[in-house]
Amino acid sequence: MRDVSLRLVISGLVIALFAFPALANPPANAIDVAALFQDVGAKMYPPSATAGMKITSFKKDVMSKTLTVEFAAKGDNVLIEILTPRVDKGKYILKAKDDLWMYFSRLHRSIRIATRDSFMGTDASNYDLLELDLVNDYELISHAEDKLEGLAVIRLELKAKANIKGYARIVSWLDPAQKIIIKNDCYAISGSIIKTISYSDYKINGDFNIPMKTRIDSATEPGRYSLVEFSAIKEDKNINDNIFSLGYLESLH
Amino acid sequence: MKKVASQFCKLIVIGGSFCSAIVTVPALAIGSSDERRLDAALNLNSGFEDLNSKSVYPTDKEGIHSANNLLGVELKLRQSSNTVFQFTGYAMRVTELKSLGPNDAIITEEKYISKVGQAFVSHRFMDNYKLTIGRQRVLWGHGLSYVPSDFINPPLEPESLDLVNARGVDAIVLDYFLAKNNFTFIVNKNNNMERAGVGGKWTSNLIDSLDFNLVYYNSAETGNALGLSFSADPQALIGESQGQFNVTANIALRERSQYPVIVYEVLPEYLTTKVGPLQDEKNSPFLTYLIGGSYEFIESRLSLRSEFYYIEDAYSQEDLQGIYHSLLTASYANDSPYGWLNVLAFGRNQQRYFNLTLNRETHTEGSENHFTNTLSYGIGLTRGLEDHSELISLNINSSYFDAVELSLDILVPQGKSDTEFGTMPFNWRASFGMKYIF
Repeated sequence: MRDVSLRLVISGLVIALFAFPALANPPANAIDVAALFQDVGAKMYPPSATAGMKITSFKKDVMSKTLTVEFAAKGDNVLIEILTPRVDKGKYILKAKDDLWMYFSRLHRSIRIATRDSFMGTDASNYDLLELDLVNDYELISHAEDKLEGLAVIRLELKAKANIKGYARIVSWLDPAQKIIIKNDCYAISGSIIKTISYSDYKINGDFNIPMKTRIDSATEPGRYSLVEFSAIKEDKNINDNIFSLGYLESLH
Repeated sequence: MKKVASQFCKLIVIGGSFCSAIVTVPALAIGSSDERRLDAALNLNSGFEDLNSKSVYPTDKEGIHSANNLLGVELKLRQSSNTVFQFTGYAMRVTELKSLGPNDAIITEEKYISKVGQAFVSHRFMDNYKLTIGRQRVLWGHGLSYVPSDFINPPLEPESLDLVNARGVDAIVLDYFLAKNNFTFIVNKNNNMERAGVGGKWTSNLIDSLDFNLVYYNSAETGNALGLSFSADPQALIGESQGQFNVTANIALRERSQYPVIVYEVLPEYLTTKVGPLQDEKNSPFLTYLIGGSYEFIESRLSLRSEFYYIEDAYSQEDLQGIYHSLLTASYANDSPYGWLNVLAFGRNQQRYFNLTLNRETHTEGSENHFTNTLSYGIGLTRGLEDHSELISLNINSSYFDAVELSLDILVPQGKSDTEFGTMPFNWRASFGMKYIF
């Protein structure tokens, strides 16, 4: 089981799996980017945590939907409770390794949902929020020094490993000075860009440097994007594994 | 009888779109907060129908009439991160049809009834346990249009066909949770003592992309009953998957049948039938099964679901024709028609059914929706493969202002007058629902 945990939840967000542990502003060509790439996962998000999250979607720059959730993540598993909008109360989402369910508590029924599906009607997909794992699912093909809005960054070229159901290719920009990811461009097999995921408001939380805000921009429809914001993140190493089971999901009210 | 049809309709609509009426409130999924919280919801359903004057169900009117008026309420008190109280109830206007004698006209009587659907308290303790006491919905096994392993809410009970407003069972349920396996035990003291019983369920998602549950239940009504059901992503089992394909199967065996034996009686003018005793146990176990599949088209976000189910001890085409012919032609002086009407629950009479739904969900399609950000819609078809009658459903559901959900359900039965859906008490029905969540 891959240790993806919280980062899973914010996916693209979670993408941010690139943390820069101990680099003091070195030039890109002096950095072991591959090692750095592998180290990011352990530094970006707590491996076991609970958190609150708000997702706001915009269409033509006008807000179209706001969603707040609470979730627990541990390893490859995530359990999400929908808090608002009120019409979606009583719905839960469980990711247990590669399985994904949505549970309708008032009907006592759960259905499997697809990773490519939208997350509760937002522009973030279930894959973006629950599955994306740059370190384990993508291979670092190349890297180069680059400039992003005048800032010196490292441009990483990532390619999906075999049988990965995510994006065919991701281009990621890292700020070695701040030791953070700035954004990821996500591409389809056709080579066209699908969306851009940008990270901001990084906050030190224990051993982790967590982007508290993430913006997911549609590349196909200008003005359409979603903002994902953490309201709280609490590392919790004692989350019981049994809450990530289908039986537990179907016991919720 | 109209109520029976109404309940079935709700089931069809639910199966098609997964949209529902009364809402519940989030409980303790994660337990990260321990504050006390009270949530509530109100639901109003009202509609119109064009009565089918040729139905075997006694209707005294023709034309369009109001129908299906229901006011529901749900309360949930989250006392702590471990304890929840929940109440679900509704009031409904029903039309009762009466006839004082075989040659007297049918008279109608409007009355209001209220029912408590659920009233229970649940408490989680020792990390792995949950105890729930009171009236609660218990639905074990996979299946949307039918659940063969649902021994606890017998499918012939009309009230239980509505998954949202259905009355629960008075039971004590203990859940034991492990990382990939869960065990549930139930002591069910239903009002109907025949359904009172004990049972257990094992739920497992130990194998990736496959989840299943094994159910055992024993009651006076079912005898020993065993059910095995699973849901799987076949693409994931053999390789790459994006989660868009899913298959379901549910196989159940029960020692006792709920279906009466047909007793043919030759009368001077026609062949009629009577309600006999329940089918003999020597023919048991009685097999029921359901197989289904769903596929989501990634680009269009359309979901296609299909299910086929078989009920061994239900009725064949010949049996059904005998039953409905009898109901259509027999004098109501004969008690048998009323007896039949009490057991003929729509969608459960025939041996074989096929269900197909096509729908689009706001929960999965995102803002690529062609109409609004909040609109879900679905079209469903349930076909009885014995008598070839059909029920077509259309559901439209949309939410507004964060807390309001509107729904429109349209049902159109199709079939000859001596078929199951053709004899439903309406030619079409349109129901409008509004839900407000506080």
